[in-house]
Amino acid sequence: MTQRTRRNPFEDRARRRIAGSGRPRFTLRPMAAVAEVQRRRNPRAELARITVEGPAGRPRLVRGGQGGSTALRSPAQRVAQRIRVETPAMLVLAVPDLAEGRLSRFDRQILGAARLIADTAQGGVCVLCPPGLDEQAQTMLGDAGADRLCILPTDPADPERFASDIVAWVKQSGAAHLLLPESPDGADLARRVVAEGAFDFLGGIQAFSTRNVIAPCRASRRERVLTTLPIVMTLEEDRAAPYAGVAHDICQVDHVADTGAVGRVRLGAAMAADPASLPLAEAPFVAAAGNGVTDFTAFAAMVRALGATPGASRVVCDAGLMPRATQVGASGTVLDAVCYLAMGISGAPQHLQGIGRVEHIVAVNTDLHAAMIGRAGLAIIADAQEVMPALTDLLNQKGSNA
Amino acid sequence: MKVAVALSAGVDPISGRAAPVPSEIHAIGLAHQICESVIGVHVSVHAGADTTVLRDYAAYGLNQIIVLEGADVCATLSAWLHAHPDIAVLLTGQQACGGQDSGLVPFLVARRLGWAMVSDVAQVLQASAGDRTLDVLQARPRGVRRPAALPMPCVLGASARTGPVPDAVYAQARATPIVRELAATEAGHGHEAGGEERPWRARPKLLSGQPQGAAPAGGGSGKVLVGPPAAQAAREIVDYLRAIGLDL
Repeated sequence: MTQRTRRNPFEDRARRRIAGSGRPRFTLRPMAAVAEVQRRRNPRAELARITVEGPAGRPRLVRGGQGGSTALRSPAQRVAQRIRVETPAMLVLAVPDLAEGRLSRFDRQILGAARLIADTAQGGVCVLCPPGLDEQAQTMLGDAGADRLCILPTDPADPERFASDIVAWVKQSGAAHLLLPESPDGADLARRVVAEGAFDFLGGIQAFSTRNVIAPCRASRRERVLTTLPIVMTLEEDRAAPYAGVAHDICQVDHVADTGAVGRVRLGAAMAADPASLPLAEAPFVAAAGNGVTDFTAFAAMVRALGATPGASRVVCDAGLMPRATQVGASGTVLDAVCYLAMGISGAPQHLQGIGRVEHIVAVNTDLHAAMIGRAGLAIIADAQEVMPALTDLLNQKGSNA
Repeated sequence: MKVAVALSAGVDPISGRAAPVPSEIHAIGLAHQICESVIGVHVSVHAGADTTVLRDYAAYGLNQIIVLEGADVCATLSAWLHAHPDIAVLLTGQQACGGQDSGLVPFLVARRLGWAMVSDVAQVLQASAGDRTLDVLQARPRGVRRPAALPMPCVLGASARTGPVPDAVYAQARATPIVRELAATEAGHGHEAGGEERPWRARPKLLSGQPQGAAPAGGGSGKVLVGPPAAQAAREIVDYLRAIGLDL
């Protein structure tokens, strides 16, 4: 609440009033200022005092003076309070990708969708995961809305075995639904499970709610609406919100016994492609040249030292300085990269469209007010011709040191 | 060794007219990587279905196209493959485009026949007829490729990232014989998705936390260095790239 005192204009006016009858009269003589001690209301503090976090993480306003103390809990108390679902009325299974043992944003959305279904019927969310999850990962799954874990004894290099373990667990646990992400691995696994278990299935769901699920069909010209949720569902990315309520506690961890069965398909270790020959749409790291680059020999050397895929702006491609296949932007390639290094690119709207999905952008440009500088995580206002050889030298020197 | 490619009557998503499915053209390309004799198999669910699309597929290099008439795609296709034991590999696209579009058919056929299945195949590395094994590369996002080994006979789902597809040759499209066969009908598996079908409506995605527009998205504090020496600029760039997890 603000500590500032303020004048009360009503009181000032009352003091100026000349006593007497009839028409009200006021004196215009300057009057000594009166220190006013009345404080202003702070509506935000009042609101914060009566706000209480509800069971599903939604704020509730408690009027009548009871809510005040609970709203100001310390963070430590909040951590201690986790929701425990000991005996769920039904089970919803979720199989997040857990790439490198981490829960991605997409995985959290799948758990959020599973939580949504489970909360309609006092159910629990059970996450199926490979062995080797540490304590921290379990807490992370609880934060994302999981109540149970089921550790499958599966080698990730054996998709057939993984699918048949999941089918066995779905049947054994009597789960109502199984949710997977429509990611490359999740989509493959879901279809294996459906083929083996002969479950109802809707894949690539674009609208998810507990009342109905909708997925495109007939070449995305029509859509299929299911009002009773099928057993197996795969969701597309950014179609369900991740769980944001009070964290759940992992109440039960099941271990499925290893039957020793081995599938016929063996997957090897993933190999990253050669960046120089990679199609631009697939490249994870792109370094692009714009109108501010004149020294293309230095640019090529820098791209090679960085291990990046070369790209270019429209102006450069039009001038014939780079091949048309390297053009980034609305009329070229829309990137799916993690990082984009823009050398001498000011950032025309059509170019920015091409890098809309890129998370990290580094820009080197002479114009401080270019659109690309505003979009960049690291912007360097300098001539690209000077930065490129310095960057090449630094990387080559580090490479020889290592 | 013979290879069959499962073809479907595709629909162009923009115009709605009959058109080949892109991933099935990639499947034809993969079939050529394995062997020279490639048969196209099309299950016609509705009697007298339009086969102009099959000519479009034939242009990419099919020795023969067999049209099977049956009510259930999976049952008809697997019955036909069962009757032709000389076919070692069935290639399919990733997902139909114009039907249910669930992407289930290759998995169901593989399950019915008891064959192994790998989806998203970008390249066939080696097909050895001797010990009847296949080594393939699976396409994964951001150019990552994952090797997979499986025994023949098998079903391979082609990815749309196999690289260049075979040239479409008009003379080949005219020359390929299209044969109709009445397939032995079996009871369907009942994998028809129920529910209501209605015109498609684009639905917005949820906002994904990070702003997509002007503000610097994640990781970057929007750091701006005005006129630094070239060496310092290079060091800042390298440090930034290392911080976001790039292996330089």
